[in-house]
Amino acid sequence: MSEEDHQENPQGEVKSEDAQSTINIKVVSSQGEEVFFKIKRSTKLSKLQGAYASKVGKDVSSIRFLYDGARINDDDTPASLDMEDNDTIDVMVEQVGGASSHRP
Amino acid sequence: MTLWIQQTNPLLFSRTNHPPMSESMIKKREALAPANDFTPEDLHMLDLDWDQWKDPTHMLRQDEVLEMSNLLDALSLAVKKGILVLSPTFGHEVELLKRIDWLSSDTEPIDHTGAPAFADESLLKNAWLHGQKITLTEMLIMRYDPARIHWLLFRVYLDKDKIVCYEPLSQHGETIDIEEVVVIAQFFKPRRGGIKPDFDNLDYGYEVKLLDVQTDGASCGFWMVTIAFLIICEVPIRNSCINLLKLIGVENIKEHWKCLLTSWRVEEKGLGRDPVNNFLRYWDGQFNHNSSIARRPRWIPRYNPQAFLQAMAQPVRDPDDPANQATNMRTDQQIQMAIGKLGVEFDRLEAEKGSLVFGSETLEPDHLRRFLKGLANDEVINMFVAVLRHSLEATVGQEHLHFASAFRVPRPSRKFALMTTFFYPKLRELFTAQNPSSGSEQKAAVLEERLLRWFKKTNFEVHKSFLLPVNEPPSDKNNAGHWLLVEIDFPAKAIYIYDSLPPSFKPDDRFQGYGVVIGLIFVATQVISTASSGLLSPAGPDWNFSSIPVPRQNNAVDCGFFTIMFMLHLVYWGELNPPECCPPILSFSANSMHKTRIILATRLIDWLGEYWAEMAELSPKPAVSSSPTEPMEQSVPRPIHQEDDTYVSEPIPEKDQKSITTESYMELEPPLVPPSVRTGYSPVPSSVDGEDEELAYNSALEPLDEIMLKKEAPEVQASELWSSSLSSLPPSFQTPPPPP
Repeated sequence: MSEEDHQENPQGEVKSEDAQSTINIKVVSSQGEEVFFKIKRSTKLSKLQGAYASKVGKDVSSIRFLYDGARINDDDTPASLDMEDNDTIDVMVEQVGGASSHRP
Repeated sequence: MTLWIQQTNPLLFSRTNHPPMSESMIKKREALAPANDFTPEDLHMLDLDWDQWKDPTHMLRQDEVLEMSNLLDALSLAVKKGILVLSPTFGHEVELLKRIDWLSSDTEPIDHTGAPAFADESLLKNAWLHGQKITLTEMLIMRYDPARIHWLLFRVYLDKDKIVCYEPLSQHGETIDIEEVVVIAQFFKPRRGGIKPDFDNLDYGYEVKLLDVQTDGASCGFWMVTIAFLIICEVPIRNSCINLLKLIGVENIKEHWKCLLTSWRVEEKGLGRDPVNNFLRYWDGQFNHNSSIARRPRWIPRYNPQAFLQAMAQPVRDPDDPANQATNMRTDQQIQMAIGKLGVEFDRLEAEKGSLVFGSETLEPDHLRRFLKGLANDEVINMFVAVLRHSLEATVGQEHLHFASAFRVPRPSRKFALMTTFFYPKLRELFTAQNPSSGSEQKAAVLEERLLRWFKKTNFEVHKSFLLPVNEPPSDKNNAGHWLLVEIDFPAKAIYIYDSLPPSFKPDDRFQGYGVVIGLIFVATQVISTASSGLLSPAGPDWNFSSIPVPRQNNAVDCGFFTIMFMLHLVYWGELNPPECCPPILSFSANSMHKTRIILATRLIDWLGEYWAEMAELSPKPAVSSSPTEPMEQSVPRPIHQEDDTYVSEPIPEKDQKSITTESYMELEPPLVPPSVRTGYSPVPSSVDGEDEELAYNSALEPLDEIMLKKEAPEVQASELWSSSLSSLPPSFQTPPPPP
């Protein structure tokens, strides 16, 4: 999911042409809660992340946003990730582990 | 939190008629009293949560018992009683013992290749070394009985082939499996021959002592460790002793264990005399050793706040390659130096608000500190998933660019596909959706379709083995989960588990306590099979499952770093700690894990720096992404209608709700915008900066939310999962916070 991957993808260039157009994005938590966003292709997804976090009342550092399994970075935009209309972003909670706390 | 026990139990002291404490003893106790400033976290015992101990229903966990058995074994070595204390769970050790040849009891066993059968610093190796130092007469084995959810202490008299079980309740279980205890006891029997006994036909005496001290459903573990403590301290376990225990009560016993554990971690050499004597005074016992009585092994760190802070504040003196420094890191001082250097690096990153970035993974400076202390989280593990993936993709001529290049590690040979830590919770979601009672076919299909997209770049011709770092979620919010690694090998039709702290399991459990994990891994094989268009076949009854014996953690915090090392070793060599190819700096064990953490962090930071520098030469790109400062265009004042970063949450399919979509919002057609949107939006000045925009967003949210929730209602009826999730929405979801 590094930058070069996007460059390799010929579709990315086509999509970035209409960077000013908006697309709908669905953010889904693991409990199935859905929040919909309408966002410009050129808008940084970090904005969406912040908005989502404040909406669900969580600290943005305690949740992770994934697109097709890869974490969304602050600089990513729908255009850079090649997102399509009605695409879905997964929200995952932070995972911490040290010992088998549920195991006796 | 009071750590040092007060003489508050009148019953106790009237009964034993104990003399008051001497003045010197009180002074000494006060000198040690700073212990009550320590929290378990300070002591590097993150999961020994003493607040939880207040809860009468708190049952000792495996990792807590592990810490206590470390202490007890050191105590036993100190008093030279010939008692070996073994920490819980032996499934893997017993499998290993059954597999290898037994040499005579004073010869270290070897495996089929002639190499030592026990990994350095493993449970068996440490126990074997203990047995070589002193002639063993007894073993104290802490066993968890999964059938009764109950801790039991087994005392093995090695010369008599006899096992006594101390049962804290008034009745014993009907089927107690003692096979593992017998195998281990036979192995550690002094002066045994080199012939492995026939375990099926061994005549072992078994006796149960019903103590009847436990009056609740949870305190079994505390009674178990206390009885072990008394046995080591030569207090006879008679009726009078048990009656006294009843009088003391479990609450007081917990306080004493807090004292013991604190002393164990805080004092210079190990467990001090005073907390032991304090506890023993109930039985008129006394230890006369001068200094520490239970020497803390070197691999259990002492908590020393001053030294730690000093090291952290140390300026970077040595400009040498930190990787080399880490290689030579042998003395405590060198370790402290490396820690200090890392601390400076963390501070710098934090000051610059810089995160370590690689691929799609980000490691916040805050989480970097987890390398020095505490638990690994998903960011830490996934960063290593990313750099190891990169190593696997390294092409000829670019070897110097891969993560382990500084360790002079050859190019990885095995083509693993590494999944991030979030694959596992997604499998759980899919599993729940596939279950007819909790999900729906439609939802399962959507989830699976989306999960298949995770594999769009996987080449299944090459990648036939998958590594999944798994976070087993905690039982409740106050706890952390547990990290382990799962390998799926499609050609071999096998699932392997690498777990630094394996669970207890019932004897007839063919998945050895991993039932849930295996269930989800079966789902994973189905998803991967579909993603490969059938090239790889999903797991079936002919698949094998095995739990690989691995170095085990001996604390409550290291499992995530073990998981990283499992991944790293499998990727580079296909096995763990292979002596012929693994450089010493990368070999790992419980006792060296505190160094491994520093090595990993140092190497990661250095390597990312090198990597981005090299990349910058090829193409000018930012090396370390700074935390989002406001984009340039936003600080420029401009008319509202050009505002292009505004977004509004909105239900997608409801095209007829257009009146409040972003288009209309952005085009600012007053008649179409609901009043609240307008009031929220009107104060926005013509120069829109980030904050004001947020404000406009929040107030615009309100009416939209209602629509959204209404829209979701029908779906809720479609599946139970949805309804439960909706009711669990945080309040802020239903009523957005007012604009500041």
